[in-house]
Amino acid sequence: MVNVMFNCKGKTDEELVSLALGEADYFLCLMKRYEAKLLRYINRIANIRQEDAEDVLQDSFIKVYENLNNFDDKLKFSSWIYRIVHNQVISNFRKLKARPQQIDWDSENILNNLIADFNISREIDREYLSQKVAQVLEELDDKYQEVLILKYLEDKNYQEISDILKKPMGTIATLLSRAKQQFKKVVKDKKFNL
Amino acid sequence: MSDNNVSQDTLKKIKNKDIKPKPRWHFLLKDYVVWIFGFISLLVGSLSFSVVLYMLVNNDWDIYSQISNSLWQFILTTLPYFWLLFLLIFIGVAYYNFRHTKGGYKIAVHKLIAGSIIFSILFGSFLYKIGVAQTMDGLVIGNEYFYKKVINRRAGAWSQPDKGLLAGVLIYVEDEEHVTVKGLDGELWQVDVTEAELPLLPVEISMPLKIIGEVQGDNIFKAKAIFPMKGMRFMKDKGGPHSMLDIKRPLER
Repeated sequence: MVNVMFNCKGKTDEELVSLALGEADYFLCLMKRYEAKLLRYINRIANIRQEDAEDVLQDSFIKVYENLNNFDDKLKFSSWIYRIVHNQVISNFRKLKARPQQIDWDSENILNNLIADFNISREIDREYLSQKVAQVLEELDDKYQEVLILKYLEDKNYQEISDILKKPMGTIATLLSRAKQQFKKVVKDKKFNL
Repeated sequence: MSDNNVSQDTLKKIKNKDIKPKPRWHFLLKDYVVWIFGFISLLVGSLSFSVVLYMLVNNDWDIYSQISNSLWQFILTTLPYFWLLFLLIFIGVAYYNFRHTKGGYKIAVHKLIAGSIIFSILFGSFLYKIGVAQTMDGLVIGNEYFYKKVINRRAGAWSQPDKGLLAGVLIYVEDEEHVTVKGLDGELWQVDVTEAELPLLPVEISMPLKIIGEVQGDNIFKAKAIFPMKGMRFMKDKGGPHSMLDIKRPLER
């Protein structure tokens, strides 16, 4: 196991997919790479207990493993695995129930994108901002929640969102534009000071 | 699951349950099936379009005013709804299949539908041009009642002698004033052509005809106008074996 983990370093996701098809231990490297990110993603879109989120993730990983031969290398592996997790959440819970109490900003980049795109004051307190963003997200339609979460919390670009949600790029652009409008409307209606 | 170690637990489960990746052929087969069904649907859609075109081209545009109150009424009563519905269904099925190919989601819905429609129109026009539509129309006659009521309502519309409309095949020329026509339902009609307008082209035995006039008695019809019935080639069979008819002379006034 140690050897496999060591050998995984420097290998791309796509290379690991090929290796995992021959030796299941290599699949552990892929799972390790995505475990934390995907658990956080599941929590953001499903608002379920940690144990349930882990079960969903395990089911998703098994599905990914079973379908490794169907991985299309024209896609990014991350988009493909996010798609499978997204579909698994929907099939387990029928509906996304994003109700994050507070949002952890994974990187400064994500926060900066949000501030720039929504004309939010740079001096705003981050804890206040994360609470309010979570509250606003809760108010949005599911279809708008999912694109905003992918764009601003998971830091995915249009192409990746299109591949994850299996919708054309034009549709993603439209959804994002409408999601932003709805986001701003909720901020205004709730009189949040952002 | 505990200690947030989903990956290790999953690997254990994969090994314990001997879970294996599904073979590549399984996915390739699925892809091929989706593509093949998509193309079959497009072909059926094109065939439907070719028959729609065939029926529209061969509609009674030249005499619509004599059989309908207005052009709109004529269009609404003679539109080939059955084939249009067939066309729509198969464009829908083609869209569904192409949408479910690996990269199908990347193409916008309206582009995919427009592509299917354009393909059906172009390929359907080609099929019409090479005569496939005519054969197709002839092939679906199996149940004549259904054909006349649903598939080609124009045929049914012309089978109403009480309303002055008669369609059938010329089977016998008695003299210069009387001919015998076998209607679509197989009934024989003696048609008085004394005062009828006749088509410019010669009328020959076994030719499908549509006749406007009125019933004058038991299976006696007085014709006011006689036209060849285009697009009803199947009616030629109604004439029976040609060998039984020894008359070749054209019906001319």
